[in-house]
Amino acid sequence: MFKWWSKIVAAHRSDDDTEQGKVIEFFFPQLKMGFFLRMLIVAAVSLLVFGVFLMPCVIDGESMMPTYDDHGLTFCKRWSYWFSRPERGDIVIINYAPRVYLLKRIVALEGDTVEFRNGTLLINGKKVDEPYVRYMSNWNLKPRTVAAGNCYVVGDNRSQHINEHIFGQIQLKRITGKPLF
Amino acid sequence: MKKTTAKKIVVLLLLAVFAATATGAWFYFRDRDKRLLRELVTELEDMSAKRQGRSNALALLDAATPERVFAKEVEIISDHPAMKRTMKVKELGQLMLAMKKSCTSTQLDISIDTITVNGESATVSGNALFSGSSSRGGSFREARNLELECAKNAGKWKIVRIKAYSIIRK
Repeated sequence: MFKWWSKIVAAHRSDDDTEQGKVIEFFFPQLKMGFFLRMLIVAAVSLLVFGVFLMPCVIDGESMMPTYDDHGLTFCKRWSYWFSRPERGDIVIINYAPRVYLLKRIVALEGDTVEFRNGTLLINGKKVDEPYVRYMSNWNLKPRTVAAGNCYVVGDNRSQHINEHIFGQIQLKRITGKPLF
Repeated sequence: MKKTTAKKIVVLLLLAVFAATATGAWFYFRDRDKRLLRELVTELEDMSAKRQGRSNALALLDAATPERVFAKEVEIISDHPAMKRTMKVKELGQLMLAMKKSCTSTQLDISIDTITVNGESATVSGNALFSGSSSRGGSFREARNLELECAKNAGKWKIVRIKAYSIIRK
């Protein structure tokens, strides 16, 4: 492969400063130390950026519609809660299982009482205004208190049947971050 | 950039990668018990898996010797009341066989958060995702908080108690 590559490079390489020459040089660079060094740096930086800070996520499911469409792509800002605590209304990415994350909205924090009455969300007995919920819902859920070290998360798409929609109380330590967009 | 400088940087980067790998490997392998417990979890994953297209006979053979992983009696504690019981290892093996028979594929993924070793007993905590497809059609995906309590007998770790709780509670 290197021979084949070198032949292409040799055939086109020279002091070709034309546009064509530059394009060819871009796609068929000389395999010198500098090239491998650049590759190594790009790989290391990518690994750091996308492995530690901005985790790529593909959305698989309709539980956050219409805020997030099915099959969408986003990135998880992992630093979001390094220096702050989650708040009501935050959209968060939750570590659910190995290689499976949930995208949900925090509706209640520890100590709050959560209830659904005919599709209306009540926190501590008070109706919550939720402009992001666009689809009709008929959910009914008896009041329950969020335990210490937990928060209560729900998706924006309440038109799904209450038994099919994954929502509820989850440990705060499972929150991985916020979506970038 | 001068050639010599580039070379120095490459050598330094390679040394850094080597040092990081060596440190990681040292942390990973320094504790023999933890390594054995990780292997036990991997064996449990393998035993529970049935790959698509793998014949029933071979898949069943994988789960035919549950005593490789489990102690003679295993206590199962779950938030599902029907699953709260103590099972003999053979009974557990039969349950696994029955489950594999009714599925075309199964997969168990366990991600370990912590391993605590205390003499002859240990606790492995993490998450488990059990997924697959049923022979009748349709697929399933169940995630649980998992805690495996293990005991060491004749130098071998075996699971004595499984605690599985819902990760998200309505």
